[in-house]
Amino acid sequence: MQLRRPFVITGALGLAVLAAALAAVLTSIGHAQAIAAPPVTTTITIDGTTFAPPPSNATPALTAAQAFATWSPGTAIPSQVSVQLGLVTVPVGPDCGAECSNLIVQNGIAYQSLNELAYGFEWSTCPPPSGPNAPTPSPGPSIQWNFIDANTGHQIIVECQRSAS
Amino acid sequence: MNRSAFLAFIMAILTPLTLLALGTPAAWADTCTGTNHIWIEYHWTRPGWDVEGVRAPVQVRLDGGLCDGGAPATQYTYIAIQNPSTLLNQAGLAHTLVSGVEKYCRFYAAGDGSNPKLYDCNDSNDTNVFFKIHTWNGGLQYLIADCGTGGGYSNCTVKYDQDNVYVYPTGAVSAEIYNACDVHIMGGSGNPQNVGNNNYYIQGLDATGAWSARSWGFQGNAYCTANYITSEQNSGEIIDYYDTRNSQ
Repeated sequence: MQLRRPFVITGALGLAVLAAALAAVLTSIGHAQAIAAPPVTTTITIDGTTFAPPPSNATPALTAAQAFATWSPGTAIPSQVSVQLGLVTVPVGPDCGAECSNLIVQNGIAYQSLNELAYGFEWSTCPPPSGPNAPTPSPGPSIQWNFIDANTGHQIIVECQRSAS
Repeated sequence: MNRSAFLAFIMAILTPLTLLALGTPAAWADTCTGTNHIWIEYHWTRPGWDVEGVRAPVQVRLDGGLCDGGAPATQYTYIAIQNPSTLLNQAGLAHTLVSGVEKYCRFYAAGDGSNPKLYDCNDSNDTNVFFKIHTWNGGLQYLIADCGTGGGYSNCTVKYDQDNVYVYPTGAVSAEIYNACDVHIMGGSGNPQNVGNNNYYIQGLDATGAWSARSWGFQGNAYCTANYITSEQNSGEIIDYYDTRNSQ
């Protein structure tokens, strides 16, 4: 069955409008992700790692979506994942001398990261404990934090905030 | 243009947009029914309990498979120093979900192992990542270090150095699986996941200060033996793992 020309033109215009609308929606989603990384408001401590409020004038080079895509190319932030901006500090422990020479050392403590501006991507499932004698995780809720540098997209560390922590 | 061609034209436009809007599909497909938490483990012990270090390259193998619905489906392959009761220092590779995305990451854990810390989730297939765990601070504490992928142990980054040494330390090499046997461990029959290799054997450190290949004993497991295969060369210079269901 042949379609009449006006119908084809109308259909094509309709598709163009639909495509433009979808593009606008996707752009707005991207924009929302760009601005939807509120600063963490209180310091969170997870097994020694801290995620602290950033300076008020913090200006990350990457949006949260860009940082996530740098870490996992071709992957958008899943809808179940939320994000906050903050300063991550990951202690190693006492300064171990030459072995610790490529770490940040301050007041006798070595750090993997010290007040590194990062996005904390929150998800509700933690990796399980490791080792033959690890305790069974409590059945309560847990938060997996995936910290990614907000300027480079480099992954810093994944931490698990369990309900008992 | 006929009607079917027109509809095909519409679908060609809308389908990719719909998929994009829905996000990335899950990379795992099997449903978790297995609940076993198991270890395919080898141990090295010393009569005088002077196990002071373990080091080895652990090979990245981007195969295996997680399962859905039985979270947390995960597999770890690692080296460790363990206390017989509850404590460990360990480092290796993890296959798990990070931010809802299936990933292969490096990890380390200390204390009782309740909070493994993942990082660097983008290693290439077949890369060897060198890890070491040994005493420091006059033999009073352990440190865990990641020595990168260049080969050897001269350029390492310490990840953790806080735990006190154990009275009865045991060296361990292990593949640990949650949701066994549904989770496929890493490695295929033609290309297993190696811990240690012909250039860098698994090595242990004792009180003499010497790193050398040691004798590792298999700690048997009765689970999933049709799928989870392991072997050791020369009493543990190299330890291999693979899953019979993996094709590569």
